[in-house]
Order: sequence, then structure tokens, then C-alpha cells
Amino acid sequence: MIMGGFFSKLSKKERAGLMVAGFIVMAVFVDRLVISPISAKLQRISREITLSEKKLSHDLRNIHSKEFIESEYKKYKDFVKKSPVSDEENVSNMLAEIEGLARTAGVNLVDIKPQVSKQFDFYKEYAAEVTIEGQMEQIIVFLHKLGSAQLLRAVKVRLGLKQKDSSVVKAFMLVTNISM
Amino acid sequence: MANFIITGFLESMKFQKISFNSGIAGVEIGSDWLKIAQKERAKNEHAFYRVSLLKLAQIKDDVATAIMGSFRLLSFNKQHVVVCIPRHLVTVRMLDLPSTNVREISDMIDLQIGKQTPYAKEDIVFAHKIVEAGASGYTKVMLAIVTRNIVSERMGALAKAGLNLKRIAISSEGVCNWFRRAYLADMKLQSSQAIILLDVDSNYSDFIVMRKGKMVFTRNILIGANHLTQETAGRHEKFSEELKQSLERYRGLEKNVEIVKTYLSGSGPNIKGLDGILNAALGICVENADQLKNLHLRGMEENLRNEELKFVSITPLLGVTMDDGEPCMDLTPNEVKIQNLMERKTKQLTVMGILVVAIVTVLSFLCLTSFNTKNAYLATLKKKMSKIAMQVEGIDKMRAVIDMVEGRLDSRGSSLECLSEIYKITPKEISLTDIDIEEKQSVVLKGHGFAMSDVFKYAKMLEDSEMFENVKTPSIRVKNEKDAKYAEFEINCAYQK
Repeated sequence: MIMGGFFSKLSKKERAGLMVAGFIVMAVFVDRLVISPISAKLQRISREITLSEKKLSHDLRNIHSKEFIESEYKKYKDFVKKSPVSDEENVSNMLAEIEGLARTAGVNLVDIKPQVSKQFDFYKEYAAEVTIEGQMEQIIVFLHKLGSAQLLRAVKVRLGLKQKDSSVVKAFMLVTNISM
Repeated sequence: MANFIITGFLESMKFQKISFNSGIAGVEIGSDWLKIAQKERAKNEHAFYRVSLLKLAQIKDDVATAIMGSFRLLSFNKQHVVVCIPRHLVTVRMLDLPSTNVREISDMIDLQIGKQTPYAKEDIVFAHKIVEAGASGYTKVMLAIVTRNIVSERMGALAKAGLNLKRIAISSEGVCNWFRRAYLADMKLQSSQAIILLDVDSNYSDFIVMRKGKMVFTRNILIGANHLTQETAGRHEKFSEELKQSLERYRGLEKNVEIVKTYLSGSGPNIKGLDGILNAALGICVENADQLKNLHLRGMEENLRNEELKFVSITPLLGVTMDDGEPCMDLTPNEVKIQNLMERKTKQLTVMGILVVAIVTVLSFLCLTSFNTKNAYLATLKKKMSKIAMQVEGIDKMRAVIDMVEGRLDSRGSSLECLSEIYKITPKEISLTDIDIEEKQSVVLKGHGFAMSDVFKYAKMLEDSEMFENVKTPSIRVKNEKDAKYAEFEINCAYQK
């Protein structure tokens, strides 16, 4: 009754405006309370389905090429044999190997500092900071030998002259190795 | 109990039965006859009608029962019924009102109605229609008044018979509708020319003048076929006198109109010599109009030529049941109109509510179905994945090992390769003092050149190399030392991805 009186007092334009506003408010309410949650849930399921489909197709592809992967894996099997020794032994083995390589390359091993090992998914990474001195050719030979050795790699190399007007190069390296 | 509630609800809804019988049924309860007619769907220009004619004197029960019986017998449409009130029960006034505004005219009639009839306003039902809007700002209006008890009697009978009233019409408008369809369509009349239509029923006659296809005048003559066929002295003279009076009244309203012809309809053509009497009385050419022209009555055609039925006019009913006629005056009382409107609105709202609920239900069902289908599909995928998970885990591990070992053995981008590339690029004008390599990420070169231009050239050469990109020179300055001048620099660059 009160609403009827209120409506009758409004002009045609005001009534139309009020109705449009009411309709918009209703639409927003329905959207927020009903449509949006349902649509969000459906979208989430659709996303999950897409991801699962991709993963399944990837897995099936892997299964189909299982023989090829196994043959490839056999080639590298020796590199990643499970080490029966402790971490300390692994580190000392790596340091000994670096020392040996320096000796054969003819460089002067000034300093070698083992770093804290890092555990990744299925392997462990050992690192050591190495400082050597020598002629440029000798340092290149050392780097070459390092690259040829099993899984050893110089991930950081800093080269500079030992002294001004000197031909002796001082090299700082971060050498890493991995073990299963 | 539940059954009662559902039945009550359905009754209150008053849903129309699904039926192919969509025509309008017309009912006329006159002084001596009960007439009912309904038009059937016309497949060609010939219309088919079902007509029931009952003499009131022969009805043993009440009228409502008789109506119900006829509706059942001839399968008339109960949902759309028009009541036709005979002209002699209606008072018609022709008014000239000083406005052309429809609302103003309605207000004027509302005010004036008390003066047009001896009855109180509450005891009558009235309706009007605009006949012609004059150029002088006046409007000719036809006002129809009928006493409420006449309307109530008929509405009561219809309600008792279970019929749904659509509107209440005047017989004169029915006659005009019928004539417009049957005869006027073929005639070519100017706006200043009119025709007289004399519709003779059993106990009264309707004197109608039509101009521009509209009824502009009507007068009731209380002499019908029953009187004209009786051997009473002076009956024809009295009838002629009434006709002359009617014509004079019309001429008093519209002076410069030429009446070109008179049509005798209803039972008129069946009364011997009536056309001659008309011709003599009015002095206008008279033509008999067959009330069954272009139409057929199912099973009644021969009966209507019978001695008793041939003096009954069915033209008003034929006219009111035509669905394409002129808009007619509706004598339905206002309170009934409002009630009908409210019922219609309620019904529409209920139907809309049911539709909304149905749509929401269907949408919810679709959403649920889609939801369930997707969930089921996702569960199937997960089941398949879990079946091969162990196998896939082993293969993934092997693949990761292969990738890792290949990556470490691959010399591409190694410090050694980087040094080799720097050695190849560096010209003799440049001397390097510091090289800082972070494998597969960045390189910092420090040194000096003979001139600044040499350093820029060197930076350009590094940029052109396939190994480096994004070469920047954050510092470059000229230095003087021991009478020698050189450019000291620092160059940063990134590995090319």
C-alpha cells in the first residue's frame, strides 16, 4: 500500500529509472549469488580436465617411447651410479681429482675450498671454490681437462692478471660435481 | 484433502482448455427468442456458422439450462462468449460534444449521463463511441444506455451456464458488421452519401443509417415481423409513419447527406410487399438483403426458410461473432471489467511465475548435468593416470637423468667455449685485464683500448656475436698514464638464449 502510494507519486521517467535500477540490482545479486559461483566451479573443473588431459597424453607418450628412453638411459647409467661412500668421501674425491688435473695442466693450485653440498630431486651437487695461477695457455688446458672429466664443470670463472705488467694469470673458479 | 487443494487451485487458475474451437459465440436473449451462433473457421470466402434458435415460450427449464444444452449440443466455444442485447432494450443518444479529446469526451459523458436517462447512474450501464470528429472542434458521439438489471439478467444466465463472458454488444452494431462484410465491401459511396439499413426482427425493427462504412444513426421501431404479418388494419401505415419519423430525425442530425439506397435485412425480405411499403414511405430505392449471403449454416439453412424461423433476424449475431469487425461499444459493467482484468493479470502473473520456476529448474538441471558429466570425466582421467603412475614415474626419472647428464656433458655455453669466442672476437687494439664468466648467464669484461671508438667497435662486435646479447658498457673513461692515453672500460653482456 505504502509502496503503491510511493510509486504513484513518481513520474513516468522516474518509474522507468527505478525499474531499470531494480532490474540491475537483481541481476547483480543473481550473478554474485548464483551464476558466478557455479561458473567459477565449472571453470575450475574444466581447467583441471585440460591439465589432466595434457598430463595423461604426456604420460602415454612417455610409455610409448619407453624402450628408446631405456636404451638412452643405459648409455649414461655409469655416470650416475649410486655412490656407496659418504658425502665427505665424495668431496675429498672431487678435490683430489681437481688437484690431479691442476698438476697435469701445470697450473699452481693456490687455494681450494669445499662448499656445502646441495640436495636436488634425485642427486646431490658438490661444489668447491678453486684458485689457480699460471700462464693463460695452462689455465685453458686446465679448463679443458675439467670439461673432459666425468661430470665436473666450472660454472663460474674469473680471470685477471696476478700483477700489473705480469703474464701470470690468476683464476678463480666455482667447480661443481654431482652424485646420485 | 490434497486433491481438494489441487482442484481448487486449478479452478482458481481458470486455465483455458486446449481446444481447436477458437471462434466467438454470440448469445442473444430477446423478448421471444433465444438465439446462439458461432462462426467456424473459414477456409474460403464462404463462412460457416452454427446457429441455435429457441423460442423462449417453449423453454421448459430456465434460460441458463437451455443455453447450456445448446452449447453442449452444437459444441459452441464456452471461453469467448459475446452477449448481444437487442436494440429495443437499449437507449441510444446522438450527442454533439465540444471537444475532440477522447479523455475529455469521456469525462463529459460521465457528467452528462444523468441527464440522458430517467434512471439513477448506479442503475444503468453505458458505453459510447465516437462517430465523427468535426472540423469545428465538435465531436459526434453515439451513447448507448441500458438498465443494469437487463445486463445482470444476461450475465447471471451466462454465469449459471458456465460460460466465459467476453463482452456485451448492441444488436445494431452486429447488424452493421454483418452488412459491412456481406454488402458494403462491393459498394462505392462518397462521404456525403449514406444508406439506410432496416433490420426487421420478430418483434421490433432497427432503423440504421450507415455512412463512410460506420453506423451514424440508429432508431428502434417497436414493430416487427410478428406485427407486420398479422392481418391488422393500419399496420403498414403505422410502420410507414415510424419510418418517416426515423428518417426525419436522421435528417435533423445530418442535413447535407444524400441517402442513396435502403436495404431491407433480417426477416424483412420474407414479409411480402414490405419493400414496396418502404419505397412508398421513404421514396428511396429499396433492395432486399439476404441474411445468409456468402455464408452457410450447418444443418440449419433449410430450417431458417421454415415458416416460423423465417421471421427471425440472425444478422446481429452473425455480426457480433465476426472477429474482424469495427471496434464495438462494450456494455459490460465497469466492476466486471475490472474483475476480469484482475483475473487476467493474476493468471498472467501465475503463468509467468510458473514459467520462471520452470526455466530455473531446467537451467539448474542443465548445470547439474554438466557438473556431473565433467566430474565423472575428471574422475576417469585421474583413474587412468593413477593406473600408469608407477610406470610413468620410473620413465620420468630416467628422462630426468638423461637430461641432466647430457646437460653437464654438453660443452655448448661452457666457460671454455665462452673464452674461445672472446679470444676470436677481441681485436689487437683491445687488451683485457679481467674476465668474469658466469656459465650460461653473464659475462663481464674489463680492459682498455687505444681509443674510445675502439671500445665501442668492440662492444658492437660482441653484440654481433652469436653467443652474446644485450651488450652494455656501464663505464668507459679516458686515462693518461706515462705520456700514454688510453680508454679504460667495463662491458657487461648476457648469454644468448
